Amino acid sequence: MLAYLARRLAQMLVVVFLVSAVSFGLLFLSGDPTEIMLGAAADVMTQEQIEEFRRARGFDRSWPVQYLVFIAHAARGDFGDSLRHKRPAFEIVWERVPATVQLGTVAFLISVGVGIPLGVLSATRRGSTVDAGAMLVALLGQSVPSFWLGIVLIMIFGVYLHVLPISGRGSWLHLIMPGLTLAAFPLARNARLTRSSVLEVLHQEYVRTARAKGVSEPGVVYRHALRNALIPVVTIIGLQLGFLLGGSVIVETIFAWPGVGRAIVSAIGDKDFPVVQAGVTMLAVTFVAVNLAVDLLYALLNPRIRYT
Amino acid sequence: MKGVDGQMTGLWTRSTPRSLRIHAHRAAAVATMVALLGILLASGGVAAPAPDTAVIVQGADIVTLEPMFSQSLPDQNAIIHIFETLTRFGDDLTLLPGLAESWRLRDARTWEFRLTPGRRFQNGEPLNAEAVRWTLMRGKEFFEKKLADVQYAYNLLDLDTVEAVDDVTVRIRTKSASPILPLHMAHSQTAPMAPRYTAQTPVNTLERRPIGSGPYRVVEFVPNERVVLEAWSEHPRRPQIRRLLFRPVPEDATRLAELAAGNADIIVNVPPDLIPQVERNRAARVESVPGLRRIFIGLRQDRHLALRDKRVRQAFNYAFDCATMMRNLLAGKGECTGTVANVPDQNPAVKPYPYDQRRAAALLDEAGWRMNPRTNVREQGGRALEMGFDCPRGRYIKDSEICQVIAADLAKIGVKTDLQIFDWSVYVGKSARRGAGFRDIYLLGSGPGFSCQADLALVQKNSGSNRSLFDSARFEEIWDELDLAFDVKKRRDLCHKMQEVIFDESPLIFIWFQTDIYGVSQRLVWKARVDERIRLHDSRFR
Repeated sequence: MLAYLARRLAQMLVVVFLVSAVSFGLLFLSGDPTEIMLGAAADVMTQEQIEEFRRARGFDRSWPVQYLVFIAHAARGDFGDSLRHKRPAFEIVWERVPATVQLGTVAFLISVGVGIPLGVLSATRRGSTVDAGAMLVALLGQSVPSFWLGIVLIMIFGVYLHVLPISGRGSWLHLIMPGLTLAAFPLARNARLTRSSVLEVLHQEYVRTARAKGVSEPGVVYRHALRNALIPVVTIIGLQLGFLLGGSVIVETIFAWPGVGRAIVSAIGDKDFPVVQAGVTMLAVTFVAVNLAVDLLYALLNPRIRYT
Repeated sequence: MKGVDGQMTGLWTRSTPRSLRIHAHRAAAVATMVALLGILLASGGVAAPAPDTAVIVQGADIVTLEPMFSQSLPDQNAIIHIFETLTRFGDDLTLLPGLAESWRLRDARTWEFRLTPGRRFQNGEPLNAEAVRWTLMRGKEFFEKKLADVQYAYNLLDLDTVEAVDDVTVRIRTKSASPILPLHMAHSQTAPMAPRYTAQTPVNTLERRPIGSGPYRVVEFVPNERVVLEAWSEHPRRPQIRRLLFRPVPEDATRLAELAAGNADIIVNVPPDLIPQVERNRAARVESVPGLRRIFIGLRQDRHLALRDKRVRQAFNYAFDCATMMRNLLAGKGECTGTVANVPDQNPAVKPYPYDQRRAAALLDEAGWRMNPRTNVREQGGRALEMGFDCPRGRYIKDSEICQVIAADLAKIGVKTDLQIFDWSVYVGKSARRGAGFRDIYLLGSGPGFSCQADLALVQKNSGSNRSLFDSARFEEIWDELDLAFDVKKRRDLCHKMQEVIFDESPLIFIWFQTDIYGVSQRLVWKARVDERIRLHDSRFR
């Protein structure tokens, strides 16, 4: 177990290292960072002032040196000051984390709490109208783009029925529409995966044995079949958790949810590279850390899995 | 419903017919959904904005309310309600008294402002000449130390000394002659701040709880979510609306939905193609006003030989069917222009170039660029009239679409363009170092300079914003004369003359002053301003 943990941690470090390289490279993809950061402000600056800005930010050094300095600072959570907020970039991103975690958790609960029962219902009523309806919902959930779904929900519940707040963060009501929008895709995936997994398990010998013993149908499904059918579903759920907690750029933007995703989008618009770098790195670390945690928890659900 | 070993109990048993159980399941599901909807409806739904609160929904967060630390428009829209300046711009951009009731020029480098006596800040500190001196010297210090965001304003201000002559008289001396200093005193970065409070308060607190002398004071600042201002009861002109709530909503469609649902009183940046959606809503209206942002196509003088010829540049202007584009692409919400000077300095005699393809073709013929009927591209000495055309996307209203229209119009007169469209974050890098990254022609917008001279710096040979590298002796001669002119009428005449020269020389393809389009609730009495500021000092609810 310890060896496995050490190997996974090493892999995690490699991923984070690669992400940091991409994050660092972002700064140079679109040209000279000094020119991009200054933009029109350079119009009223002398060449000396521009060069001073370049030196102050360390852009006059070679790329490898700049990268090493970036890594050394980033490891301490120091991505420099935000150009717009004039505060540490990490702080700007960190203060948005609670909102993103809140939304991600709600979306996660919806996707699991609705998706799995929907999949079970669909599998146990295979070929029925219920099955067709559930799979239609799943198909829509996977194929409808979140920006479209978000706007449709806003029009129905916010504008016409006027029962839900349209944007922003406040009461629990504010969580419903963004939560549903963010949950739509994973919910659909959970439902489809659960359905196929339960259907597969329902044909196993031990299920037949349980039925032969006279166990009620709900008992067969929930106590015998579902526990085994959930193993592949849990793998996917683990990946989803990282994705949902990592924040959704589109959903947060549509619903003006003050999370990490929206911070990154507005930082891109403002050419606020330190915030973009801090945000991207934080999302990557969150994603790999949650995935690792889920993998480790996997053993609790499936004792057959041994870490080597 | 389930007993031991999962056996059904009560009314619902194994002997219950399957069809009945299915019906029961469906009924239960429907009942649950109805109940959930009922709970939502019974909860009273979403509370409409309080009747005494105006809700302003902007496209971006308010980052700071400290005037010297901000240049962004969302910040400014709140700041102008909390702080006041010595002078201010009226609705038509004429300069009006603010905290200063009068001002006069003492000599070429010295202006004297007389403050309204008896004014105080919101915390009771006296708003006197010393407070003005302290504020300006703080800005000067920030400028010299390259702190805060005062680079633009204090660079223009060029301060030497500031003296509090008595309690209500401030004498401001600049390093060089500054005929337009009173205009700069309308900039919020020069707004007097309460010296004691400002000096003793950490920056983080100042950014969220500033003390000004304006008609509103801050009561709540939740970063990234909302800012709430409340009318200050001791202000000499107490506003009629009690509370202002500023919210950020970056997505256009969501802002429109907030307006349609009655949750917003003002929304910014309504896209022209969504105007009918606002107009269909009886509770809302569209307010639009030609803004101060000049949108134009720069014609670089240092790359393509053809662009050095005035006739070619004029031909480009004649070839552009601006009026049709306004009608079809911009919902008729804009006006074409033939100048880059803003109101109130615009020369009324300078009209937009008429759409005249024949005249354009004749000018190109005259300049020696003849049409090759095989390629439909003009040529001179075997060289085709082809040029690189750079354009941003997503920075200005319909920017990339405008470029496509102009490229098509130029093609009609035999000018071939290689149009490349870039995301703004890339494009802005190209615009740096006087547009060193641009190819032959490029679309750009430029905000207001708040004076004729600052506006026309776009084509002045030494100006950093002159990315076309235009250099006209006629223009420079008048520019130098304007530098030393203090008489208001003379300055205006010179400004008008310069616009005539620019029109004739055509260093740009003139497009328009970008229209600012707002969605406004019918309950609010408010008019859009040309300077993009959302000012609610004199607004009220119907």
